[in-house]
Amino acid sequence: MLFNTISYVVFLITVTIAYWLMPTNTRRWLVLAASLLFYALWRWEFVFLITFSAFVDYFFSIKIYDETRETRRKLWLILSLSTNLVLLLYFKYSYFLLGNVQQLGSLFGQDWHFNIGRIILPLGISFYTFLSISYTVDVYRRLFTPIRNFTIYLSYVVFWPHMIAGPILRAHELIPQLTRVARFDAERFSSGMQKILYGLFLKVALADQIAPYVTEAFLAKPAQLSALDVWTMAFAFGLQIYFDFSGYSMIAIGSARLLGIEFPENFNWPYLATSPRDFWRRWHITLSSWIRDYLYLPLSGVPFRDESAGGLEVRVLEPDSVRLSLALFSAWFLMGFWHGANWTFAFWGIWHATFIWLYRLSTPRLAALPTAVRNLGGWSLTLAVSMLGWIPFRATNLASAFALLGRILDVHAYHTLTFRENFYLIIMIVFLGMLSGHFLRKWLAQSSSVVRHGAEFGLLAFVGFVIFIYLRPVEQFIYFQF
Amino acid sequence: MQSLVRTALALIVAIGALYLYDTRHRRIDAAAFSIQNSVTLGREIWKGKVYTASEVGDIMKMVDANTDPFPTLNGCAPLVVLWLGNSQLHFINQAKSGDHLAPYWLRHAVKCPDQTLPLGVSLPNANLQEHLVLEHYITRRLPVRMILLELCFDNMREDGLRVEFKESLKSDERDSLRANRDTKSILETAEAEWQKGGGNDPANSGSGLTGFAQQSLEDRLDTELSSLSPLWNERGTLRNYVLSDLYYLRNYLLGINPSTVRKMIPPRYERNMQALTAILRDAAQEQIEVIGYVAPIRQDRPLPYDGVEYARWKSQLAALFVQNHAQLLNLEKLVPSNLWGTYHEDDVDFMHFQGPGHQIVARALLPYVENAEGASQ
Repeated sequence: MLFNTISYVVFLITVTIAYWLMPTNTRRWLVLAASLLFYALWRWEFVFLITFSAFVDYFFSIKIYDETRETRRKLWLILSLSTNLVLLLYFKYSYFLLGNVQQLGSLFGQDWHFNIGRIILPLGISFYTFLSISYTVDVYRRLFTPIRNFTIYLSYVVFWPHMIAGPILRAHELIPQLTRVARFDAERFSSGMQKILYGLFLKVALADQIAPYVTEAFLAKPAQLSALDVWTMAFAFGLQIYFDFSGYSMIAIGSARLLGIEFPENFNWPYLATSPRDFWRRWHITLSSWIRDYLYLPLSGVPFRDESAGGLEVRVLEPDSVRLSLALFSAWFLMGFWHGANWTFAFWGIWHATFIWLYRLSTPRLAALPTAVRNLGGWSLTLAVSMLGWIPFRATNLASAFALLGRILDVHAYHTLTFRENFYLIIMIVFLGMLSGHFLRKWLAQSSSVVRHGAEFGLLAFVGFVIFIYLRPVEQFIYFQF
Repeated sequence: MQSLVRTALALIVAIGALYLYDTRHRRIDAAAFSIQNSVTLGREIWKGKVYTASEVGDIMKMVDANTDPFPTLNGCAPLVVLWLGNSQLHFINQAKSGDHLAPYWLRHAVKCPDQTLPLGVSLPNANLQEHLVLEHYITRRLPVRMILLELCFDNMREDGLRVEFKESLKSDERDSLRANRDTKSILETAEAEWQKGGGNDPANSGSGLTGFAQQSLEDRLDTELSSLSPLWNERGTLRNYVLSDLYYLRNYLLGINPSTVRKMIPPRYERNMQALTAILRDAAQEQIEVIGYVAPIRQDRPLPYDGVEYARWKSQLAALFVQNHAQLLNLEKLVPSNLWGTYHEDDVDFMHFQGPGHQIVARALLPYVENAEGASQ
């Protein structure tokens, strides 16, 4: 089911009212039924796949926990991980892998053809696979005692606000909330409503309005574009994906909050980051935290953490070493690939790893600079790096990504504009609007309650006005394709 | 609890504001469109048949309605003249009773109005890629012998096929466009954009739910809500109101008016020139005579074009027409200043002239059509 639809609004109102009116011992069943219905409203047949996948992890996690012999525990873990990864590989990476094998064959004069029919990518498979992996690994690490009730475990996996595109939660963050009896709290309920409204606004009024410009721009031939065009495209897609995904996350967090369930935040003004590492503390926080705990820190040989907050907050205090660098590049390479079966995503991961690595190397030398210079310089550079990183992320193939990035380096390509003036104007206004929003929010936080409540009231009325007009499913959420 | 009440109140205020916004705009619309009739909507009718249309769907219907062969009468052989243009061809500035569009005056002036069919085909801000697709579509269905092609510098900034083509082009027509090298790339680029939900047109709504079982539920709820709430039903119109308000706000804040010089957008210009070349080439292959004309533009104000770019375009047109053995007329100074529209100093219309301007344009092109009539007898 798509969030940006009137049917979701009706679904949410119905489930929320039923939830709070129902006897507390039956709420869990309502959550499970509503979540399965939510998924079935995409394609009902895939409900069986997600249930099967959940059952396998449920079963293996109990085996892992109950088993005392380390080799057996490891074996169960490997079986669980393999099941998840094989499903992910089959549904998400089959075409990509076979395509690459085919290309490799052609290098040796072989003309291989593979006909594997049409594979439909199950919605949210990347997200619920990571969720399941974290569960079994946490059980293996003895950080979490496995649930011995399959319906609770299934509810954890399929809970609709996070199932399709996160936030990626840890078992201890959600399962206790699903099993306890929540009490209605008007303030929390109101903040949930507000989150949903702001999230819908970001999606329908900003992301979906920028989308047609981005689509048109990326259909143009790179050779026809100027460097200023490419910069604008990078900012345009950077803003689109930010509003799209943070809007999605806000609706997810708000929807859960209506039922008295708290999710961690997934975004924290990423385009105000002052370093590449800071960016990953603010962008898709639950994913970067997942990568940190299940890939980066284990590969680095550094003690892991167990929470979906903080992102790349952890600083590895050891001096830089080949192992640390390899861990960084491997983790970010895989993180890139997780986004999609295309070398462009892997390149995007490497792009970020490279700048995090360079930042790590240069940090001691930059310490002597005045704080203001360091912050302003850090912000500008991080903004440029993160925005340009969206070029390979959005490009259809590596050749196109390199051609576009190549335009940036061409000093003679800075004097023309290719698109309609509105494109540049809109992107500039939206970007400045986003920065102003941050400072306005800070200012309001320090204002009197009358000013704050007045501004909040006006903003909500405006957001409600816009959502009423623009709520329609013209675009899916970008992260649905991952 | 206070916060919950505040949120609920804010949403009620939003609904109230929507009602006010809708009512205010509806009043303005009612005044603006009170004089609409067939001609101001861009249609001309001869003996019950439309022969001038200005929307993609209407154009397709008009072509289908005119496919019956008409007989040779009084020594006149049938002659279909395809007149391709932009809104200049279908809009009358300050329309008055008795005014008509240029194809009307042409049809009434020719020797054989029952045998000479000037088919007025125009789209607002039509670009030459759209003209190429329409030319391809129409010349494969009607025995077109002559094309009158309006060439407007403004429209060289436009690009691609508007989303209405998506609904109107059936699969066999798309196959036919794909079979041609020139139209293939235009169609494929447009299809990629349509698939991605490009364009802000309401016709695109719902594309995000493609492949979702949710689609039928969404459609049903939308229909139910539209029947229950007039405001919900008006959302498409409200989106247009917001868009036009933003447009005026932008113009006001940046001091943009119709006289503001607009720079050409090089890749779009290139694609349109390629489309023009393809039209001329295709017409030559089909043995269709092409009369191109640089569109009339008001001369009493500085043009909203970069002078160098405009001059270069005209010289490129001249070279292209010579190269393709087609005729090019320069009608830019044809319509006198008093026949254009000006509401106040800043609101100058460079594109649309008043009723008599249409007669003047038709008169200027009449000799070429009469020549063709003579040749077909």
